[in-house]
Amino acid sequence: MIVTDVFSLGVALMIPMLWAAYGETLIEKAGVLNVGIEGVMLIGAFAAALGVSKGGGIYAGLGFSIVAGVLCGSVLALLYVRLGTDQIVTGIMFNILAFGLTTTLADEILSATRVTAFSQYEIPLLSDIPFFGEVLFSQNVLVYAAFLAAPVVFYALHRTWYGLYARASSEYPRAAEAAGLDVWKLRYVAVVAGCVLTSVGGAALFSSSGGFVSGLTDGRGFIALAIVILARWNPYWIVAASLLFGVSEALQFQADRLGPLGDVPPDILVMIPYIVTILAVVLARASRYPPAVGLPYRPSAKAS
Amino acid sequence: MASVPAVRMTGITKAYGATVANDGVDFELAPGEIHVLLGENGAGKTTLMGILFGMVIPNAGEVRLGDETVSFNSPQDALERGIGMVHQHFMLVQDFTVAENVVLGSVSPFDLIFRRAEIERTVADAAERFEMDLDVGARIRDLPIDTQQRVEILKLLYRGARILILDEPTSSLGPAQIASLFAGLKQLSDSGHSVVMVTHKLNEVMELADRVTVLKGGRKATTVSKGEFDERSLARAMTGHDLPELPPPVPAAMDREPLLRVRDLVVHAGARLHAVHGVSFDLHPGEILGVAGVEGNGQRELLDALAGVRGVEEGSVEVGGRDVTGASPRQLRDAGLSVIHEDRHGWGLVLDMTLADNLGLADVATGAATSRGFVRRRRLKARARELLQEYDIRPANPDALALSLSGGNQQKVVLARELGCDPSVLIAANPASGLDVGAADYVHRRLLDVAAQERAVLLISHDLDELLNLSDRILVLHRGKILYQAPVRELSMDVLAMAMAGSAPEAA
Amino acid sequence: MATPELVQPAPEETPRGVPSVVATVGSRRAALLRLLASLVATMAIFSALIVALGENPIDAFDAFWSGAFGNKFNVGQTLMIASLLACTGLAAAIPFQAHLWNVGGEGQLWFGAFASISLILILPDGMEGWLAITITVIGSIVAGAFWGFIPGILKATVNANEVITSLMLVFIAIALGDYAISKLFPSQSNSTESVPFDRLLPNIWEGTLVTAGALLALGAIIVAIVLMAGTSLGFQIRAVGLNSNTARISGMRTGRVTVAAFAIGGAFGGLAGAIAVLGINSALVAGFSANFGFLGIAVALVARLKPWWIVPSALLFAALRTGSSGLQAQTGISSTVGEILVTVFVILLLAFGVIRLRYAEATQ
Repeated sequence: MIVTDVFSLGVALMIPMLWAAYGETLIEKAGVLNVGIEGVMLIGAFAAALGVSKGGGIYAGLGFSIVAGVLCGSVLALLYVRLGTDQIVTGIMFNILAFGLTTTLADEILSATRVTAFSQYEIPLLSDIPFFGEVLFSQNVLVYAAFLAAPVVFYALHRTWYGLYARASSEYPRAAEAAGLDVWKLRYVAVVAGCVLTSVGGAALFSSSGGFVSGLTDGRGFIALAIVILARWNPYWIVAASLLFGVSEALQFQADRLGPLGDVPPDILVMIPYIVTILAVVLARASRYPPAVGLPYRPSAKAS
Repeated sequence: MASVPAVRMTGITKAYGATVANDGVDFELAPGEIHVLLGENGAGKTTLMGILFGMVIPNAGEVRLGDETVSFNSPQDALERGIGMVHQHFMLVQDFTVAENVVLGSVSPFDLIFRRAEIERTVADAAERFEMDLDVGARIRDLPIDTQQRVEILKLLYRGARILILDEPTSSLGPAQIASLFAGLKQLSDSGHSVVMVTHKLNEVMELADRVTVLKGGRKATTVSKGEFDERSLARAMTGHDLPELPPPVPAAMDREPLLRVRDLVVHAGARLHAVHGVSFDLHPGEILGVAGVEGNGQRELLDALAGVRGVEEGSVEVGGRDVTGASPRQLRDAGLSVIHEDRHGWGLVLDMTLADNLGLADVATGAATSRGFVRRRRLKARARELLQEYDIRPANPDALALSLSGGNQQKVVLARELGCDPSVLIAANPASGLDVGAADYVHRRLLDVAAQERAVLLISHDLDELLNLSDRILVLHRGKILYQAPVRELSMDVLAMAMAGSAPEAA
Repeated sequence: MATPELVQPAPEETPRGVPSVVATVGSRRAALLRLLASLVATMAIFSALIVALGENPIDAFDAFWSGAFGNKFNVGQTLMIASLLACTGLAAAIPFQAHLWNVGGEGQLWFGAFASISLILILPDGMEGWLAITITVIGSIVAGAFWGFIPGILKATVNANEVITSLMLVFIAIALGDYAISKLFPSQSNSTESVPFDRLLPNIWEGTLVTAGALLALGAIIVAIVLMAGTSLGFQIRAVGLNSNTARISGMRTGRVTVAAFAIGGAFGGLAGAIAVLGINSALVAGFSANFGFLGIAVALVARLKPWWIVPSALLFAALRTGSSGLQAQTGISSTVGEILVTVFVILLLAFGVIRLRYAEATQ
């Protein structure tokens, strides 16, 4: 059935953006805006390819991604938090840097990567349910993990002391400091953890694309930024929003089966997710970033 | 019977670039006393206390707690030693609940699970213990200012603070709330807590202080104990001379057509408390109408609505007979309205632009200083020179950046620009906030001048003295409604205080 | 991200407190030292990378230098790339002065190029060359302005995040460009039909490929200088950027200024597209932009947002680009290594505080 196929593909395609959106949520809910999300995802994908090309199989790839996430997170945390550089500009530069690095190194280092993806696991019984069975329960392990991660992220942000403190840092860091919190430390943790999740999204992208090419991410990281606003930093809504974008991306692959859509040239179909994103951002008008997001913070004693 | 002082600061020096905020200041706090730190705006009080609270690192000097020398690098250090500070602008996260704000930072982030019900119970218990009536589940943004202040104090007591520093705690409160606060402070002092209250208001000192330390120009002027001082001597120590006396205001022409007419104004706001719920008043030529009220009762929203930067839901506004309801700032200016906003850095000036540019902002916006799309720079500068001269702004250099000026001179720039448009109605909100006595006096005299020239002034202020000295009539705003209005001569202070606290007077 | 709006918002919903964007550099001498430190550090990192890729750094620098300035031809190439970067630099700088991040310069570049190739190829054959060029250049500028206008108006009316909308428009514009190459004016697999000879911007320097495109870029700089220093709009753009609240209460229409600033930025980006199609590549070539639009942001920052300083800044970044082509020619290392060099340099400038953007604190 067409709809099933579209949604099944949509769920598979949404996963990279979902992971990246989780990561960005953690980061923004501590007061930092990571426009470099695109670059981190790209590096994560590259790292996964690297792991696989060294002969380690897909799980080695995942491991390399996580390490890459920690490295990216540390560098970005240093820039955004400690050095207080402008987050948007730094993020954009980081993206270009990531593009340049991965493209240059891909030529040199990656052997022709064998097509390696995470294997699909069908959950017994559940996968026999019509529609939902194929769409939701016949996916790979990163997909299942991504869905299970939603309550974990929610819990981390709203039921732990860390979450309370981090959110205070995104609302009114000066007050957090006056209460004795170390805003910088909270933000370091958030940025590194967030970059790890984003990087895992890159690994998922590599897995579902069957290989690394220059510029693989193609704007998915930026779409994740939109997902986060659209979903108002709520992990459950993030899942829903990601699905929306995943499906819009799936449409271009299934277009030939969708009647009139099949007549639209592929170059135009490619635009669908981006147009959907713009519409989504326009419709999400009531969403407002926490007040301190994007602003570098200097603790009082260090500023004096 | 010398007991070890709870806090002893000696030789504290702190400079920010060329400005010396504290110059070899000594300060001592005895256990269980209420010690007032008095001084003009800019005298160095907040810096000194910032050092005690770990937010500022001194260049020189020593801080001792009891017998021990300490050196704080962050508020965390101070809190651990039992020192807490309530800042002038509350350090509360508006979106969080009372309980969440109180426990913020009290526990390590690795303590993992945050059990809401348990936390709320603990905080509620603490509130009871300190005899504070608080709904621990309420969001801060829904609470009135004095309740928010109580949350701030509870936060410190909850963390076990024995030394409390309050920075200008009464700046936005009304008489009833101030009385309540002082009663609470006396209670704390009686139970062994030491309190430092930073203020620039003399009358508060008289009521509360066991001892007073006066700072002047970054140095300690004197420290005196109860019984050794009176208002006059303190004023002299604070400023070096007696406080200036304002000339009596010229009576207003109440029978002429009002220059500003506001009817049933309704303005919405983010928090319900702050909205304006149907306000009506007239402003006559030569009149200064004072709007009193505890901060957070709709004054800011009223100001923004009249300035054209916030939407008007219902009601009407007329300036000089012209309907300007919901008009843009430009249209309001054309109608003859000027605004001196309470936030001079945020809404009054462009700090990174030159004085000439700042003075000419409105002229460029309306096109008065432009010709065919190009800015007439020479004309802008010439006009700036005129205004700098007329208002005695220093340095009188049109190319100086606004941020390089002192607070008093900055406010003069705002005054110059707004009065330079020759408005028929001037709205001034807290025009003297943060200014030293001399600058505040200048501003007040200018406002009286405006009224004397048969223009109208709407003075919105938290400072009752300012309102009483300048206004012809005063109205009290509470939760967005006018609860009381009367000419100053016929004012009953008691009724005024009660109205500010929310009790409407019996209908006459 | 301060958000001036056409629709009256309640002031406290304006998210970021009071922003004040000033690409300041502290004291002159300290800044110079930090600039040098960044330069040295960049070269060190670059050398390390070269070594990791199996080449000799000295050879690499040599190849770099000759690629950028080695002979007259290369200098010409550098000049033409600088022309592109000057325009994308202006595209970022003008809105930036209004504290608006136009990160969509790349999209405005592509859309301008798309408009260029479309116009130049469909204008009637009989039309005079110079007329066709003029119409096309103007059309590209308008197209770029439109592409910049979209995020501007969306921000001003519904407060749509301009970073995200601009970035999405980048990808849409590139897709349009690819569409032109593959379907609209197909010719080779990676480029459209060529622009007819009489409709190309004329060569102005014999022995090189420098065309009148360079003059167009210079003209753009002059227009930008006059705009910011002399006009009322420029004044208002600066005021809104430095303190939109004060600007607003003084009577400036901040919403319109926002939209205008974005549109003007887009116009410069569109011009870059015209220069690329009519003055450099003679066609719309796939992937013709090595992130020139995004690098325009870096060009603008290094120039401290001042139009006059964009000239040397653009030349610097252009040299880094042509240098890396030279490197590729000699060593086979991918020319994207130039992008690594450039971004590391800018990030170091940011890290060392040579480029600093100042913000007042967030209040609630």
